[in-house]
Amino acid sequence: MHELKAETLANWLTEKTNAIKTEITSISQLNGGASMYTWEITASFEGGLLEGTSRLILRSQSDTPLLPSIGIDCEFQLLKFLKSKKFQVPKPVYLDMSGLLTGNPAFIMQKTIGSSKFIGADSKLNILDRKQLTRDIGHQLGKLHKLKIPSNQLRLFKKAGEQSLIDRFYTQLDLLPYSLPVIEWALRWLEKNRPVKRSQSLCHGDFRNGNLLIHRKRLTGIIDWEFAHIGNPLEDIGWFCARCWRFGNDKEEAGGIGHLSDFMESYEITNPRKVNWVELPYWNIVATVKWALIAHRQGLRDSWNSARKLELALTGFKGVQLEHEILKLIKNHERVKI
Amino acid sequence: MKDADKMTKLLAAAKAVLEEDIIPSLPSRKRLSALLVEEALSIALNTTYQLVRQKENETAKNNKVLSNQIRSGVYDTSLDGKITKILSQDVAERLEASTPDFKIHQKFSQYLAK
Repeated sequence: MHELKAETLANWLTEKTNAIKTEITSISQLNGGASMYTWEITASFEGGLLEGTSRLILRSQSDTPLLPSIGIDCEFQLLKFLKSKKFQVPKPVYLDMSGLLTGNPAFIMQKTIGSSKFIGADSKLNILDRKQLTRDIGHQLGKLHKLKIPSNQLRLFKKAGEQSLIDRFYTQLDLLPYSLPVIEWALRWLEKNRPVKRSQSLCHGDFRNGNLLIHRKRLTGIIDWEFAHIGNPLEDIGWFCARCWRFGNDKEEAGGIGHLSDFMESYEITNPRKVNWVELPYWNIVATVKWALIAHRQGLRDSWNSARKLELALTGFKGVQLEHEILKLIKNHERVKI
Repeated sequence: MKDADKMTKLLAAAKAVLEEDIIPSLPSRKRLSALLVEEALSIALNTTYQLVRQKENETAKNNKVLSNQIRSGVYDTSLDGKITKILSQDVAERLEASTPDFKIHQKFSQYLAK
């Protein structure tokens, strides 16, 4: 069941907020999210903790959550923790673990103003906007990667940290109903060229321009924390900077948004822990392999919504483009070594 | 044709969007053109489906053998040697069939509802 009934939601919110009455004035399901369902809601509260009109986001787990997902409960706790540390993340409000609202665990957060659609090459951002935005992003990621996680919060991420990244990729590859020799070869190469293990940080796990909200040319929010885990900070940076996420704006190496040098400078000012930038090309390859595996998997998924089904089938075809990119990246890497 | 299986799935998904989302909401003067597009998609779908049946077993078998060899370390002494030529050839053929433009521009695209 992936239905959200206005009446059920209104009653639940009335109880949670101690309001006299709640009216749901609009409710619409949003696209996106790897394994979550998302709705945007406008609610008017008479009395209670959220008196007035609030724009809210409801995020619900699907029937088939993806393996590395930390789950709704952990994501809710993590957002609370990050908000308390003044990160630019949506403010989580209420958690429904019973499945009353959507049939699956869900939580409500306040809507963050901003959109991720205005970052591409055709956006109205000028050079100075891009520079500032890149620095904002570098600052937020540096702050995340230097964060000390209290031991009572560490349990949130235990599941993701049990298996090495490459082992997880092998598991995902073996779940596909067909063989992919290029990915097999790339994983072998990644294993043989694995960098020395360095200090670990809290990683977002899906840090790319699609999960960054921009309003009036400034960063307003970082969303979709379901793949957060403890890992190498360069995993996030490699994912953010991988060419496959720049959407044609290739000369802006920092996520298709700005220059890598601006990102690095801002990141390092915030986070004095040493990052070995020489390893970044390796992590760009990791990112491209990861996205290729996701694309192949998405191509096999089904949906009740025909437009979504077509989008998934088209995403499946990105797999071969990413395989092409992997071959090119590894060949370049080998050439530089010589 | 490599990736023919995926191609049939893609064409079927495109046909479903056309039938369920687009055609019902079209004004009657545009409906005929859309029905012709639907018919063209059906022909392409049936033709591709025939190709899938002919070729899928052979390709899948070859890929499995090659993957097993890679995982068992057969190419470890020269991971950037002969094997890359085999893999590059395979990827080039699949790109040529599905998104030949990518070979030229090499730009990753994004779906955005305006």
